[in-house]
Amino acid sequence: MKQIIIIFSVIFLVITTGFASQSNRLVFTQLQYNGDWDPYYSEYPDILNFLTLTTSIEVLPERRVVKLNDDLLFSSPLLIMLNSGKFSGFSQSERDTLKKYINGGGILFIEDSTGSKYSDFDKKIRKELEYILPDKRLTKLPKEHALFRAFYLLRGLAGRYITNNYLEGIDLSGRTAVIYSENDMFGAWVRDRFGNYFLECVPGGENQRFEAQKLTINLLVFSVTGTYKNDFIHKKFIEEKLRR
Amino acid sequence: MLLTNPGFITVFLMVLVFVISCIVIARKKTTIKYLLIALRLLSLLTLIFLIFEPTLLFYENKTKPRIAVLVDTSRSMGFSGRIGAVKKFFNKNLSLIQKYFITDFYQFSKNTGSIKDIELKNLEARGTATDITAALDNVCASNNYDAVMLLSDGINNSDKNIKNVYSSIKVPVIGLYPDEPDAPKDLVLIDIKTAGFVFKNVPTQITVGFYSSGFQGREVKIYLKKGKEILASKRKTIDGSYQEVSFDFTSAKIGLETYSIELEPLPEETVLSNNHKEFNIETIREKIRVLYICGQPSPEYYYLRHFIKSNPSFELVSFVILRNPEDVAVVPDEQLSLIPFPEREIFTRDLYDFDVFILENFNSAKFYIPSEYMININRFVKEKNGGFLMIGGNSAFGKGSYKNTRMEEVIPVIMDDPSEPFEEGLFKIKLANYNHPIVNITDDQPSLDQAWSALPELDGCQRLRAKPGSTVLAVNPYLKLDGQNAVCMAVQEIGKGRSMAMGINTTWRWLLGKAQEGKSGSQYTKFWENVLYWLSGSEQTREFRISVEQKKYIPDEEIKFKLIILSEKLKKSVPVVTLADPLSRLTQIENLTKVPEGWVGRFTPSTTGKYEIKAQIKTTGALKGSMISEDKRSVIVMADANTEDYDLQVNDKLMKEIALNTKGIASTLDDFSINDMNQAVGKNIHPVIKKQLSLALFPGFYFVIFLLLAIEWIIRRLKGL
Repeated sequence: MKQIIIIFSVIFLVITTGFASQSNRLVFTQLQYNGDWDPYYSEYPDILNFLTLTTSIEVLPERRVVKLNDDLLFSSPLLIMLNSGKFSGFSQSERDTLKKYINGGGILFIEDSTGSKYSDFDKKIRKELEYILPDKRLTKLPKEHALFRAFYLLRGLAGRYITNNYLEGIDLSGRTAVIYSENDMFGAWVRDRFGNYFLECVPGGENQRFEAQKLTINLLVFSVTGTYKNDFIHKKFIEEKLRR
Repeated sequence: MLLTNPGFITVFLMVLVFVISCIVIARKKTTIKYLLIALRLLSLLTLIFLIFEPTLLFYENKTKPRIAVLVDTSRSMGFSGRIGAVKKFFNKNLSLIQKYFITDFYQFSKNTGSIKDIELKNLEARGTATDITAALDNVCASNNYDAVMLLSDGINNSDKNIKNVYSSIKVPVIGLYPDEPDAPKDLVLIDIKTAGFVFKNVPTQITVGFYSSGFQGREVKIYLKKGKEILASKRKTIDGSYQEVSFDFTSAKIGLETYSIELEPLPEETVLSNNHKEFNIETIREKIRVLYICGQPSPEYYYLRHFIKSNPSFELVSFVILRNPEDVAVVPDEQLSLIPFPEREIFTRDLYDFDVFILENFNSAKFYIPSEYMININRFVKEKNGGFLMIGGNSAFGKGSYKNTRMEEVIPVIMDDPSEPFEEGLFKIKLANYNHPIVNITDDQPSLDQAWSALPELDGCQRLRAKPGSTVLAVNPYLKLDGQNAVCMAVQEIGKGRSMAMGINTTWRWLLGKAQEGKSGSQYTKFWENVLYWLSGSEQTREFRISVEQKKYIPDEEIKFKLIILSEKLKKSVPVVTLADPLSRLTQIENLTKVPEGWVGRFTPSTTGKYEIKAQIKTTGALKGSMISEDKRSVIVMADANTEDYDLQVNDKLMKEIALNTKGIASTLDDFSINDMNQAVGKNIHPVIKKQLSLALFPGFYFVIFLLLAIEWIIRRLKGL
């Protein structure tokens, strides 16, 4: 299976290299900030290839890296913020921008890639979210959340670690605008130069890796479908499948 | 109170002047002074006498009582030969009655009029109503009669309660009514029970109540109709006097419509006009039902779906194709949340339940959409009042294989060729039409043009061209096709429905882009609200609306309507209101009255039929000219229906009640007895005024006053006083 995916990935890259405009495509937009913002700088093509091979979603093949003062931020409906250690917090102006972005319709996905519970980043980012959205707090996303059924039906949660058996989020005006993970979901995608997965997934090994990858795909699908899979019309089918 | 009475003040002043003048004369040392005072007193008394307007009455020298004979000539007297029975009665009894009574004859129905006795044999029952109350009130008001003879079937449909006039009737009423133990054979449609408004596509019930007389055990057929079209029919076997049947009814069209219930006439029915009744139902929408099918997930789908889903005015069913046939499946199907796309159900059955159908970037060839489905989409728009929107992308319009299909007719643009690219790149959209409700995205900004210019850039545009008959709303000013700007948005009204083409698919940038400026996405939401309201034919797209009290109107009754204006901008302008009558003749309604919520207007319809009120408000301020907002409202005016045709049985109870309350007698025409009548009227003959003479108008009195004053003056002159 891996080989097939790699072959298709190469074909995809060749085909899509010519595209430059975002248009109505999904853009893998990652936030650059003062801290360890880019632990896995090379994994995004693999993720996007997997996404385009398995779903109908069109993506911009390039990763978009934005700072909070970058105009392109407001052309990016999904903003991914990763951290692998250092984080010195946001300036007031950055907080204001992030507030505008989240309130204006953007989705912010934050992941603590350290896999440590109560890490320094965890404490700081929670504080930052309190500054940005003082009336809101991160809460656990329920198992029925559309994120967990956006494409794959996920029965459990996984990343490279299983720090928490849940994701957290903040809902604004009927949509989940902030999603927070401490399980290092993106770390499950990292490969070495020979194409082998580089970082071990603990404790579940390769099964856990695949679950983490499915969750990543679900995140990206969720960012362009929203609560679609919670619509009444899907409910009966999904519940039946989950019972099997 | 006395001081405010001019008559009293005049008399007081005259007496005052008289007293002063008498005092002056009394001081004179002459014997003639008493004569002068007497002359002045006489003239004063004469004047005061005239001020009180004395009237001289001359009474008639009667030898027998005078009676008013009231003959009912309303339509109900035409049933079962009632008017014939009245004529027969007069033929037999007139000379006898006139032997004992002086008679004045009146015929009455809705109004009362005097007739001569020789006209009795030519009476016809044509009156549209029976107003016994007014007829008795009129003849008794003169106090000239010793009795009233009332010949009627007692079917009284006066607006006034007859009990209120009993006290003013000082003479006995002799009530005579036709002898009919059984009601005429008839079916009478009495009642149609339905809500004044129903929700579109939501089933409701219409219950019909009717009376049957003389048709026990017979089967009757009842029709629900719209115009001449039969919408439904029911059969009912009559098993009592009051019958009810119910129709299941679902309205598919927004607005006020007139329907009718008809009872199929049975042989020997007395009256057929009471078998039919019209009624109005206003259909409103509970929610605008939107079907949104998208060929692939995208930011446009995410934001538009969220907007529709979170707006309580809309109900959304959406499908987005998450996986194409060529996509790789890395897990078994049961691990995927995918459900089969129910294309057959949607395109052959469910589509018609929706108000608006959005098709975004969905390739018809890839998903093997057969021509049958496309025909259904065409029918959805043209025949089922549906609204259709196609949103662009690499799998939409020509690139989505819709060219030369049955859907081409309802797509309001000339589509791109499949080989033409979807033009990518950022551009600012340019408004091409400033009057269409869809483009009205702001209230606050002085210029619509400025509002649109301030919207963030879009990314990508389909190569669409203007289609004759459609309205282009916005273009891409940087993309020329055959010398014209590429069409970004176009609309058309086709058949009964509406359609729209959007060659753009990144309106989400208006939402997120505005957030960068710290502004809300109100223009994005207003734009999409406008689109969905307009496509669904909803009046909420308009910034003002005409409100008419929902009731049945009859000819010559004033109809009051209100223009409710929601926008402060529009409140500054005076609306222009035109009225189209049932013959489509247009008149302008003047004299609108300003009220806090807008304006109030009135008109009085002269005939039955559908009247359409159209109001327009023109505002200026946009750089590119003026903006016109408008609304239309229909009002149905129907013929006046009354109980004349609906309650056919002789109401002898009422005739007896009138007689009882006026110390008269009541009997059937056949049982009339002159002796009983003589006894009821009695021997006391009312004095009748023959002539009245107003003395105040008699010039002799004024001459006397003048003469008295002249004599007094001459005496004073002669005596040197």
